Amino acid sequence: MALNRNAYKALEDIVGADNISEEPAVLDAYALHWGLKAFTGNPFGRRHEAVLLPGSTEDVQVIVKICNQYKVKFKALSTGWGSMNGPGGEGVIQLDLRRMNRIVEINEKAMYAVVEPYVINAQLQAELMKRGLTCNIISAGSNTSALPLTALMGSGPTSNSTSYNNRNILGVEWVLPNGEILRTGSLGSGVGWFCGDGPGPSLRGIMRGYKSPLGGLGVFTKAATKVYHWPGPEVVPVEGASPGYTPKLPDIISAHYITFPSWERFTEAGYKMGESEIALACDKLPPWMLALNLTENAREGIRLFSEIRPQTVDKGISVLVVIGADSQREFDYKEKVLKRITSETGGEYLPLVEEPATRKKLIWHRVRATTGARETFRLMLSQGASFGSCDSWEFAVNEAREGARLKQKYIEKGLLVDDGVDNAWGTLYEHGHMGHMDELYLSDPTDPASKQAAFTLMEETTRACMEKALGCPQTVMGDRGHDLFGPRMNNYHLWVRKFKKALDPNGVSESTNYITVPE
Amino acid sequence: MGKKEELTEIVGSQQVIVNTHSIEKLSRDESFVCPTRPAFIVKPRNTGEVQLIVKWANKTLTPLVPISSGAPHFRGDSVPSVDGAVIVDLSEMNKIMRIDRKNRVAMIEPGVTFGALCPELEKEGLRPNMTLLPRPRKSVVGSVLEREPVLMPKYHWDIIDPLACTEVIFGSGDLYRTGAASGPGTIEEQWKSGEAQKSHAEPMADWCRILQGAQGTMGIITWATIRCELIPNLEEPFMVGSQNLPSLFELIHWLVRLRLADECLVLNNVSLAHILTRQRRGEYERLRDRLPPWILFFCISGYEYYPEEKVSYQIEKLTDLARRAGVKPVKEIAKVPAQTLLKIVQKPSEEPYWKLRAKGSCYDIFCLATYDRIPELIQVMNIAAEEGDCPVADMGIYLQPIVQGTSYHCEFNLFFNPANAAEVSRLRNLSQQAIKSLMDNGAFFSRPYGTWVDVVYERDAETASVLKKIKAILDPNNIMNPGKLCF
Amino acid sequence: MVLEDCRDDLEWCSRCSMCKFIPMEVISGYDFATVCPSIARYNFHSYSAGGKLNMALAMLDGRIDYTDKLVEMIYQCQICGGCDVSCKYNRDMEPMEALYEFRMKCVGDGQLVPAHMIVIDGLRREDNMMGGSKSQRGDWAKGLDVKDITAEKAEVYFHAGCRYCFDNELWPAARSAVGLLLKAGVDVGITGKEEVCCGGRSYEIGYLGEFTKYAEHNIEMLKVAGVKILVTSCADCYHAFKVLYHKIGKKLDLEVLHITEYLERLLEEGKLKPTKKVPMVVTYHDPCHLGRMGEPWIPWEGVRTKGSGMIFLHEPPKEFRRGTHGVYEPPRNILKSIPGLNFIEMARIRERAWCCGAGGGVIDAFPEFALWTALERVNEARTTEAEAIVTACPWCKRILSDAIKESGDRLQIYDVVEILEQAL
Repeated sequence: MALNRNAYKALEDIVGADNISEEPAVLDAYALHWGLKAFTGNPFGRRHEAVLLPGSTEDVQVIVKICNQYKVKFKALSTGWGSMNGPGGEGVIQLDLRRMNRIVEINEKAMYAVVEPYVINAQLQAELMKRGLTCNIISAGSNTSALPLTALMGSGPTSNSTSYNNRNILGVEWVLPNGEILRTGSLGSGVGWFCGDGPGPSLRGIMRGYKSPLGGLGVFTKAATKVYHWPGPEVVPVEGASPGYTPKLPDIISAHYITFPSWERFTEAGYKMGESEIALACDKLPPWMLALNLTENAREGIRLFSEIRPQTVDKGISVLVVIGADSQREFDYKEKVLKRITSETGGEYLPLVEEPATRKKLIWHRVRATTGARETFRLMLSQGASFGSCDSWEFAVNEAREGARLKQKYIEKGLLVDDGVDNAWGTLYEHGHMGHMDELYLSDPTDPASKQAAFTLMEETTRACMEKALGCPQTVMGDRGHDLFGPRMNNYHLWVRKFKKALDPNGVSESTNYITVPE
Repeated sequence: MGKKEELTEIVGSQQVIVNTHSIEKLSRDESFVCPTRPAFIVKPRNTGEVQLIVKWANKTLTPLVPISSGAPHFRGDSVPSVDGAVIVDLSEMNKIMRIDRKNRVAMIEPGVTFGALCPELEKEGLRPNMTLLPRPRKSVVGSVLEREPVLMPKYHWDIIDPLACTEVIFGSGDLYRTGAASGPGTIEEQWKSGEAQKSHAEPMADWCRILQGAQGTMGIITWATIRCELIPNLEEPFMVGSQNLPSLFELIHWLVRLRLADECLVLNNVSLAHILTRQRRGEYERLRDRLPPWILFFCISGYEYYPEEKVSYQIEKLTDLARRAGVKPVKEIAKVPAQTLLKIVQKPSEEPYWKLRAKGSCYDIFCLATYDRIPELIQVMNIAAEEGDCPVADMGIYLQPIVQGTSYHCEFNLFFNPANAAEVSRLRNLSQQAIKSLMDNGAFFSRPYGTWVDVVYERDAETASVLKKIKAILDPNNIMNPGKLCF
Repeated sequence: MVLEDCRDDLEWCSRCSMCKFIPMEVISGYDFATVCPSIARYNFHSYSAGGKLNMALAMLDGRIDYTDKLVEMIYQCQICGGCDVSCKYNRDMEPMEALYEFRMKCVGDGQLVPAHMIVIDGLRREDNMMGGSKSQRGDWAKGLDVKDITAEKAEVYFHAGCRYCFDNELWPAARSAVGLLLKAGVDVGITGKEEVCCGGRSYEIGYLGEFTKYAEHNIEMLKVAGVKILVTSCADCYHAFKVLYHKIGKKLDLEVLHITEYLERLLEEGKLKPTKKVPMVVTYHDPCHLGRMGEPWIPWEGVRTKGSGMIFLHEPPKEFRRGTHGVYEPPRNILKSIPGLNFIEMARIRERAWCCGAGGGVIDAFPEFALWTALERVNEARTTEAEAIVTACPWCKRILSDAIKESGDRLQIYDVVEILEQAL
């Protein structure tokens, strides 16, 4: 059903004819999402009625008000990687925020940056590095929005020293589902972006949890995010041509890939590394991903995995530790402590990563988060992720352990790809105060048995979360998931529905992947 | 059956206080809010009782005012705004439920004070991220719920810190556990899975943030988990005296950014003299006059691994940073050793509470601002004080970098004699005038109390509007501390 | 190959948006992070390579039909290959192939861009893409004392290309190129008015038949002429001769060199010695067809199949062209050999260079978009504080000149050979 003509005209008047489209081909470009293929066999979801390209907060506000007036649903996306950025359907328009792409402010001394939704992390980080700063970049990659309210979770390779999205947010400009603009914290009082909380209770409390609202609660048009010290150069000079770039990094930024003989020793080492505050990154990059990260095509990746398997998978559990320092003495101290911790916990450095050129590539790949798609999508297999809620480091490790335990049988039966079984990516947060882990698995969508194994594993991991108190998985989205977990978690879903209803009385902020409120 | 009897049925007769003296004490505090007598004081001993009290209050539409700290109270939030309120005094819910060394976290009830918690944590090698010299009877949960600034900005990643999870009875009477504590699983099952109730966020909301800064208007917390930090193996405290705040800010920026300092704060000579001196005649004035106008205090620490080496390279770095900032860190200022100050700020205030020693009371005006606005705010405050006939020379100032240096808590301590009506009146006027001027010059009142509330929400109507919607969800009958904030 | 053969890539595009940016590793600031002019100008996802892959799949699946807008979106793209490099930084995919095939499908289905129909009519009639008369094709070389290889043998054939032949303002660069070869003692010849289009542009706008025809003609002509080396100053022609001919199975049986490659060789051999100072600050614009698209074709025939461990891999193993081995150093080495010249790089160089805007039929069908794209590059050049942009392709030089004029800037523009000539 086409959009009401009056509504269309009103929307067109706001953004201009060049920035609105109902062209079926354009709509299909927005309807396709890789994640759907694994579930439905069809990568296309439902089309939107129209796609709009607002250019400012004011545009977004008026669009949202028009949506309320005509009872048209809207759904905003930024860089739009996740499948959750759809869905379309009857009466839903898509707001593509790519014209809102300014870095509004970088406050070096107050350590924050303010961005619009289509500034990507690589752009922000590059600007920050010129000032000796960096930011948390989600593990998916720096090709994603730097707005800390868009990614599903928001943890990344350097979260050990740069925390994760939910905890980095300061002031936010937020077009509420009713079209009013809420400016949180100090911003609302007109004095800047430095604080996102108050006056009084902090509305960050309903803005997101450890997951973002996935576009289901209005539109975030600008946000300030905390930034962190970067001990490296202002620009990392990169030689060579894609994809085999060679970054030039100083020797006082280093990395070691360390394998520990058991989960227990791995856990212990994580706590020690956290408490000693030596690591820029404490990044549980599993051997499978390491191999894909360091190679230029899938075949090479598989070969390298086989090569390092005896030194990693077969020996225990591995972590990538990146050390950064501002002086040689600091660097020597951190290296010495790492060596001691490694020795105390029976860890071994992987020789491959001790090779300087490889090490530098790996550091840059992780700090800039360049290879997310290489480590996952390159193989063109369906992938799933389970677990992923965060709490203590031990808890996170237990998520990974359980994931590996449940997965193993399917790998042994040849139904899932043999990625070393433990293919959990995770990280310490905030020098060991917390941890995150999600277990990845790969299946063949063309093989019904493999596809079924992936589904069954997902169900099993979900059940394990409920039965073994392993948190609410990151993959829980939409009513079905929340209605399953809510009753086991203080009925959180009912409370969320209440504030969703209060903020979105007309139900126009499309929220299939967030939560909906029954009429 | 009357209200008293109904409450007695819930908590027992010993726990419902009708004693005039006690009631009278809680009808006012050190601030300028209107005194209002509560009807009763009720002292629940567990979550079940708290929940029953809240349900009862909903049924009887009785206002509840939760308190957890012992007197004196300073901000007006514990004084009822309406008649007939029941004070829910949580001081007897004072169990330290768990200290988890490995995960650096403590689970405590709201009645646990700093005085009680610090020694227990110390036994495990832990310490809280302290606020500046809290009174010994100050509730730790109360402090973190009020977002009081903490002394170690490098561990203050998010303004919510060090608060992690809570168990709360919402104003609706529903029990809710926030953050990782929400489940799945019981708390014991969560411990078994390795959870330590460290993450304050739930999948879709972060209710803890709504409870913080709410002054008891959203619900009553029955326990909370608090992030703790390690006790260092080696500590090297320093002081920097200066006439010049910007140069101190420059050094602080690097101390926090490079994670060099644990404790890190700035006091003016007045506040530091008040902290360090007793009531002996002339002692305070002598010290105040000897001290430089601004004193930056910070501590460099080493932990388990090679602490001497760590401290050594950090001091080398510090020396370079200080040289660049044009300041000189020293171990002693005006014969006050940095080590002495370190020991003082790592504990609650000794009695009598430091803010009361000089004149009997103290009125604090505090806000948040970025470093660059602070000199102007101080100027504004000085002018306001002069115009209000309040002695500028005796105004204490405390500047605390928070949230890893993204902003500062900027606090003006106005010491006064509560028995001097003229002084009280001058201060009352000053507080109203100063708030507006400070806001006009970049101050953010993230924690509006008492008479500041209207001015603050007037500037941010949308936040007030949304807060009202949330309040209506969590406390539909508006029984939780009505009349505070914008409700 | 047909679009259907690209189905795997169409279905497995993960919408990561890498195709919109230069590779993440080399982003060095907020500015100049993008690589795709099409999405940068028009903004809807459908303009990016990923979006075009999505639309191609929708077309194959019968979800959409042709509209004028769809055809416009397909062709509002210089097919410059920036997306291909960035995608293949991480992925084993061939997005460019899908873009070519989508255009060929359009042409096959009779969905033609009017401006391109005119160009192709001209090509069929006059053997050039410029609408000029074939009788005037050799005018650029009037007065040059150079062999005509249709009449006499020469070791090296210099192919001028349609743009040089019919754009009078650019003649000096083509004449300089031949002049330098002669000066170095190279046995070089041209074909004058007998020269015909390389066919490359017709391939890019989807006219495979025309391309094949001109490829066959040129191959036959070169065979008869018996030259050993083909040299061209045009990056588009270079790409056609070197890459596209090979791609359609008609690899030339001779060495194909861009003029910059040959001149670099002559400099190394000491046959040309730049001695005069050229006191100028310059920056260099990598033509797409010489750089990332200019790397040799790597033939592969096979399938993506499930091997051991359930993993789909290309069988036989496929080597991907990822932009690594384009012609990047020769023009730079020439510039670096010139005394007094101060050479400064722009932000986007080599395999991640921003397109000049002229390619893929855009200059013919969407001149404003071509100019917009060029203006972006001029702005980028301006940030280096260079006095001049140097490039190595007449198409780039033409549109960048127009953009400089449009912007009122005082920047100058040269071909590499013109700068070298000044130094000799």
